[in-house]
Amino acid sequence: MNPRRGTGSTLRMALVGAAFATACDSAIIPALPGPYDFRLAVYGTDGRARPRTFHWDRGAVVPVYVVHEQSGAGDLRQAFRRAARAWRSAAVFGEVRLRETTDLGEARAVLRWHDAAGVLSTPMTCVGPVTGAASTLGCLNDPRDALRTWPRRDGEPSQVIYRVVIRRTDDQELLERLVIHEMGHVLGILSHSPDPSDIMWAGPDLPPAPTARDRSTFRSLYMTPVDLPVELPYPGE
Amino acid sequence: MKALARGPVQAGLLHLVLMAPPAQAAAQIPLAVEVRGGGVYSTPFARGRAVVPAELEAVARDLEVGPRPAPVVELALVGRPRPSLVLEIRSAVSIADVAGEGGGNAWPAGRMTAVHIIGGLRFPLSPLPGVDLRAGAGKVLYLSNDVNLLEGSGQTGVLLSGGFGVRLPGPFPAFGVAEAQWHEFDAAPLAEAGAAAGAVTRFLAYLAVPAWGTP
Repeated sequence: MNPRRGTGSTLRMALVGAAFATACDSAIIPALPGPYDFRLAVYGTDGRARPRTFHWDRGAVVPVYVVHEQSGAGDLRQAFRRAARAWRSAAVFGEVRLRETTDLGEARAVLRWHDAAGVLSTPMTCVGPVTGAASTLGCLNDPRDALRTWPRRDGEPSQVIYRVVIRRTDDQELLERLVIHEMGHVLGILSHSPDPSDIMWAGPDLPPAPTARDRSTFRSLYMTPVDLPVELPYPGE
Repeated sequence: MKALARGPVQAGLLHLVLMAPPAQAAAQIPLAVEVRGGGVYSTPFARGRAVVPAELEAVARDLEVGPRPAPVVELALVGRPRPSLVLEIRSAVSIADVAGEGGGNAWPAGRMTAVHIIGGLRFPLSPLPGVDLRAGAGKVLYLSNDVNLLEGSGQTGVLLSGGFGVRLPGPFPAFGVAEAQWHEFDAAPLAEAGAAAGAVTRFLAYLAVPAWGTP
């Protein structure tokens, strides 16, 4: 055996081992599908649509007030918890988190059945189409360049930005998928996916959880600068 | 996979039990308790990428999330079965803020507690008086109520540790210790989220002071 050759072989093996160890150490980031447009099309007085981006501050915890009632229909609170978990698992970089609150004063969104007693007033400027199985509605200010808070029925100060209304359904699974979809809007995905397999698709037959495209869109949203801020406090309150 | 791993661990524990010295011999092994305090820095737990839509800004931004540097406190039971060999069992706790980073921004992502338990040994580095090399293995556990990444699985891992200690000059026998710890982070929930995990390295520096006994 040639000792020089043996030394070279050992050296090569060591180099290969070192390269392998280095390769193992650098994790490969899985590719996500490209995001769909998450922006809200805001129509100005000139009739032109301008896409606007809104999301909560990165790292924020968004309190949601759930008007809960048990009347034979599905469990709205349970649906909210599943939605919070679903979006939490998409926000692995800690972008945002939903939590339920029983304090309407700190709530940033209200979730309720469409026939439950409302806790918010509805100014004429906030009136919008409430169709389909569920809806999420936000209010724009007069120049239509900022979101504004919903006034409360009891006249107390409000921080609520979104009102989420669910139509009655006795199908708990459908209810939970609807709430995941609507909470996607609350988190800032203000448009719908063009792909029927995504949770943010506008049609029926929603998937059980955000898809890879939904997650990709969510992640892109939270890396995009906000140009639709929140106007606080509510004017005239 | 866990069942496969359990076998060697149980065999290893049995081996240690069989190797353990009888009670009389154990009583003759000098024992000491050390208290250690210092800091820990960890590499990120996860990395990912966000693609901002082309009509806004055609850029891909790298993301990562992990704990910020934090204080650490450790308690160690130290025995010296032979003059040139020290065995130790130690457990430490640190509470760290977790932060996400990307696109030149950083944001709070919760708070977590890290606990590690390590069995290890240390032996003198003969050319250098007062310096010893340390190695060990154990487990690390991450606990959190509000870190999205730590929900569900991915909270524990087998930990490997290596470092060195230097006896510090002074009236009491204190050691300055530098240590690197390495563990895999469970990537299962991350793959679905389009993020990469892999290896996490933690760097610790601390002062070790004997609290009881003299090994």
